[in-house]
Amino acid sequence: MIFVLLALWASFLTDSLVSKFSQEPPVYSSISHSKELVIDQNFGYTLKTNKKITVLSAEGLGHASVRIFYDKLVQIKGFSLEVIDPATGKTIQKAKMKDLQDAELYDGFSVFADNRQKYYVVNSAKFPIEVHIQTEVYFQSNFSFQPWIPVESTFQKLDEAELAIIYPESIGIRYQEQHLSGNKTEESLADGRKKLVWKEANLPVQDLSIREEDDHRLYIAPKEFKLESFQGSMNDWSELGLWKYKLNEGRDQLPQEFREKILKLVERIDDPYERISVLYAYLQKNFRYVSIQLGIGGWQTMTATDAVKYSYGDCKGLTNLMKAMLEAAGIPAFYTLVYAGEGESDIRTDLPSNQFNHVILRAEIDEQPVWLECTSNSLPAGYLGSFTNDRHVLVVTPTGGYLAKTPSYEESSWNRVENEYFLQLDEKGDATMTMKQHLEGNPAYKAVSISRQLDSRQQRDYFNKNSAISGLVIQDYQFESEQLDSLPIADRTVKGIVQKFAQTTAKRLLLKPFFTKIKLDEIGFKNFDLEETYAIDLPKGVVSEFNLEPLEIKEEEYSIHIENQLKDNQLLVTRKIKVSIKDPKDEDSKKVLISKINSVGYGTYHFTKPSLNQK
Amino acid sequence: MKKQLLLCLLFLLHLSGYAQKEKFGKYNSNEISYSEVDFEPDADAVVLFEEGVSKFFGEVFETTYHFRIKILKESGIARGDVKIPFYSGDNRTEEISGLKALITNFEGDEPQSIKVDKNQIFEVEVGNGWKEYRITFPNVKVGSILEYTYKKTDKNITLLDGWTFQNDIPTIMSSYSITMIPQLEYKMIGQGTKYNTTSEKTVNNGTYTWTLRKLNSLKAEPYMNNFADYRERVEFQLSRYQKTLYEWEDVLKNWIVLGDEVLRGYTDKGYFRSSPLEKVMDGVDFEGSTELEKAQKAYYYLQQNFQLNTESGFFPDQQISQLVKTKVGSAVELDLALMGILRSMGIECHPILVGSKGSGRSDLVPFPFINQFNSVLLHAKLDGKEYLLDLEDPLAPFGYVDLDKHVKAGLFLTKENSQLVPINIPHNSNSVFTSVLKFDEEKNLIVEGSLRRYFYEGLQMSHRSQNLQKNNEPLHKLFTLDPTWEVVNMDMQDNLKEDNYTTTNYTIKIQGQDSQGAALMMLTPFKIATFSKNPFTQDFRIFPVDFGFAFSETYSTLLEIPEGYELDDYPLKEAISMKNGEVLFSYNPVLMGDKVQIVAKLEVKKPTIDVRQYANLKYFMETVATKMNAPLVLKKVSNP
Repeated sequence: MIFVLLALWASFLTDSLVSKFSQEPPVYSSISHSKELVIDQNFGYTLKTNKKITVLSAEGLGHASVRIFYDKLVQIKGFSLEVIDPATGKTIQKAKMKDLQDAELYDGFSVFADNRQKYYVVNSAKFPIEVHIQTEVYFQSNFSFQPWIPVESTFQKLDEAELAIIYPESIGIRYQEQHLSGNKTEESLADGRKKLVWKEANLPVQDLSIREEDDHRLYIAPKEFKLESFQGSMNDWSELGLWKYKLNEGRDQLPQEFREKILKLVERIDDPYERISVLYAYLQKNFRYVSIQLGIGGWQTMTATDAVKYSYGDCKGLTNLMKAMLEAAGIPAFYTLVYAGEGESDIRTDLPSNQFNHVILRAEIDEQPVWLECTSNSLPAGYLGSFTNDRHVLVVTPTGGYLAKTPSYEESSWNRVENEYFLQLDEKGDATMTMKQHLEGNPAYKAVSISRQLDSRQQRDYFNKNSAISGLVIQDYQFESEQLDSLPIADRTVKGIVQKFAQTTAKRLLLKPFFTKIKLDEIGFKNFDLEETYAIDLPKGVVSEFNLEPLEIKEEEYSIHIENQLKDNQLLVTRKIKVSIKDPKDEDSKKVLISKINSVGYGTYHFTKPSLNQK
Repeated sequence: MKKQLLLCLLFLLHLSGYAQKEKFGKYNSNEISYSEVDFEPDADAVVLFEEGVSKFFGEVFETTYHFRIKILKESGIARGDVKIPFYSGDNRTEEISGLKALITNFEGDEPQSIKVDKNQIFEVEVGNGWKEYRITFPNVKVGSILEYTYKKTDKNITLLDGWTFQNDIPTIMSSYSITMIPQLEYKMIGQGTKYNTTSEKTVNNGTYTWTLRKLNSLKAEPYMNNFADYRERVEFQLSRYQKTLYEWEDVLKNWIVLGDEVLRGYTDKGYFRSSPLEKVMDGVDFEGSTELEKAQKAYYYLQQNFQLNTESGFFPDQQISQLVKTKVGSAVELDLALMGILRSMGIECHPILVGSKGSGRSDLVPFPFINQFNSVLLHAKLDGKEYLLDLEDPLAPFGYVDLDKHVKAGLFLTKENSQLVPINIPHNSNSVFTSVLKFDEEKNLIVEGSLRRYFYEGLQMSHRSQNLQKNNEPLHKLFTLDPTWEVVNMDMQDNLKEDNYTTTNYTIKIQGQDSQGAALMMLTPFKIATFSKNPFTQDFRIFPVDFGFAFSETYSTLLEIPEGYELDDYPLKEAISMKNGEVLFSYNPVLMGDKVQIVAKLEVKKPTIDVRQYANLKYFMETVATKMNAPLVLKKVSNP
């Protein structure tokens, strides 16, 4: 019998074959800059910046443009900019404070935030030009500092950079160096203050591939700090957590009527997880996330009373409300700070400081956490999703804060997809298709998120775009989600017509590739299980040309099992894939791995030519 | 018959439900029970009703806005945040007052309304004179009706805001009325399919009202960049006003007046003065044996020595002297500077105003509405031949015009004789993909290919490759390649200026195609192809498919059959065409001994495909994609 292995070749590929074309990054500007950060006794600080940027081409103009953040707690005190033609020494352009444009600094989702920017855009058709920039900004609070980054832009050559920090010892600073190789000096000033100076020079030019953890940086944090009237210490996580607790203390009082409603919801429920689930579901159904960043620089939560009144809140407000609801029901719960974002680096755990941009809740049952993302209207209680999973967080308690780690959801039980396809070919080569899909864990949550963000037409199109079977015209699309405790579960049924599912060559009937392609985000949790079956009704008289023997591939990080059966003109295919990534991988390596897995058995199923009437 | 009558009555009842002014916070039973939009059942929210009522108060124009939105699905809850933008400028050009908002939820049929507090309405200075009011509705859930109203005053009465009857969610009813005053006369233009067919128009004592119903949502779709041009809309421009009891003053009464006004603006900014340009021309060689040569020198001089900023529009911001000094300007400023240089050399050159694609209107109306223009190109007569010129694109060769300006007509500007002229920019923006597939000694498949793209397709390639180069990224990112393929080399030659094409040459090595000497080997002949994946996945569309321009793509692959194999099977010859021959595809295998050549060609002859043809086009393109992916079958020879 003639047979062909179904693209078995993919498993023999080496790791990454695509040439990288790596070359030295081009240089569009060079920079020398110095910064002086002077902390005063009132816990405020002044940041003065002097820059000289030589712009070598139009691509470097953005490096010389100025954007200065300000809000109620940050004031711009001074700005000057001068553009000089280095060939003649003549000034081409000058700008002062009055020339700065003003705009809201919109984060893309907040209805209201106090964040604004003043900016100036440098334009020139002549190169090189020298741009001299001086700024002075006063920050009313030393609660947080921007890191010092000597190489400010990609494709920029750093000539030299200097940072001086002057501070009263009573306030103090702490810092953490990352890939700094220049000089550092310490000095005690005559007035008792301390002065630290860092100097860096001639650091490598960076391109877009630079990662935050590879960059040259100095992270700075205070020892003592004050934000409006709230003073605190930041020497360890406990102190920072305690300050945060005090900032929100007393803002979790529930209106009596609401409190009674809450208690009624759980009055007949003894199981603590069920209590949490019921209250969380109540929050999800009746409150929506609205980002309004007001109150103590946007760090203090709105009161639980206001959240109840408006039925909305930002992450702080909804978390504070949920905490109050759980405590009313006798469940301990703790406001928890996190640096959220899909794929974001973990915080620097050895530099206690304000490194957070989001708030979640840690409810506890017998001191074991049940994590709650209170801005979500769809997550099950105890499941966080990729926005906040697998990272260190600061749990805030009345006696201080402590670091904890959120779950990674790496186990395969959190990453399962099952597909069941039935296809029936017609005489034109089109096929009717019914697909039933069952998702568990992270894939289920992703599907739920999409169903909440897109209208149903967009959902159908999203499914179609990501379907391995091209040419699908969806006639019916059903999506349902549920949860098994904290495990998200989703089921999808899709019915439709697959256009041109089969075509004929001179001798054969060929089916379109139909195996589900694993996607990059699906292996982001390291483990992933896919099981799928296909029952394909073929025209009468077809004879298989391919090997019906099972195909089994076992590699270090994945295994694939494919079984084929042809019986009564029906092709039955079972495909099982288990992915288990051992070491962290960069995106390119993951893409190569996926390509390897997807190409196994991705070849064309073909049969000796039937009497198919191709139109 | 009775059933039909009943249906008519119900329809009338439904209409009459919205025929009178809606009272704030009062909802009828239809609105309370409304749960799905019949003409767009996927919609997660719907505008039940919106109304604008405009009146003049002296020289101030005031519009009262009233919106009523219902949340139909979970994903629609985000509609609970509403933004109301307005232009305040330095002079409080527009002001908002009387803003009030209400949300109503229903327990059965019982309404529970909550007035939105003032502290849930934020005023934000966005920047550049723009402000926004932002409303955050409380208690938003599926079934909520959100309602808000406000007044906006506008000091600009020459060009009125007008009214857009469509939203990004479907709209059940949208109504606009304007009460004119005798002292001001306006010309009105309306556009849109419904506006021109089923809109209800009334005139009553100087009050003009338009009501449109059942309007689809306006949302971006693939192959439709300019959907804003399809909006259902009315606009107004002042045509004359009463200066004294007996005296009237015309405003932009015809194309000549409009043209002269624009030219006066250009003159005031110095773009018809030669002295500032002399500075530019001083020491620069613009000479040539022909006018074409001179014009090309001037074009490339400006393109290479001046920078484009991000300003848009057809009026220059800067004086010509300032432009000459900074060498940084907008596209219109650079175009006008080019015009100045050409004219100073005695070359006939004039600006043409156009309304670019996506700016709201690509078909000009026969009244001199200034709002229908937003950019400029140049008309030059060189050695007796006519050329259109444009410096909008810093990479475009001489004679290329920004694609958005490829519209049907424009206003040719010449003093006291401006007139509408047709615009026709012929080009053959085609692509030719050629490749040779062969095996090396290690049984790797080697693909040696070349892609030649012409005119505007070539220009797009030029942009993409330059962006990659700027970002120090490899050229193979021009294509979506399998990450396991090895790109042995890839380079691009840009011959746009000389020959109107770019050429990308590449060699790709693909391992494992000969899977351990398997009996059959299947090879897809086209490794790089634009339409090997059907771009049309949506089950239906609102807008026509707009490819931008007519084009063809030709593919030719030569496979050298490796030793020990023979060609056993291949996809059949095929030639298909859409109805009316708008899109054609052919596929032709040719056997040549130990080689096989596959030639395929896709031709889009008509760039815009009617939305009613979408299902056919989708099927057609699926056929194309399937064929482009169809494999050749090589069979191992038993005893080579």
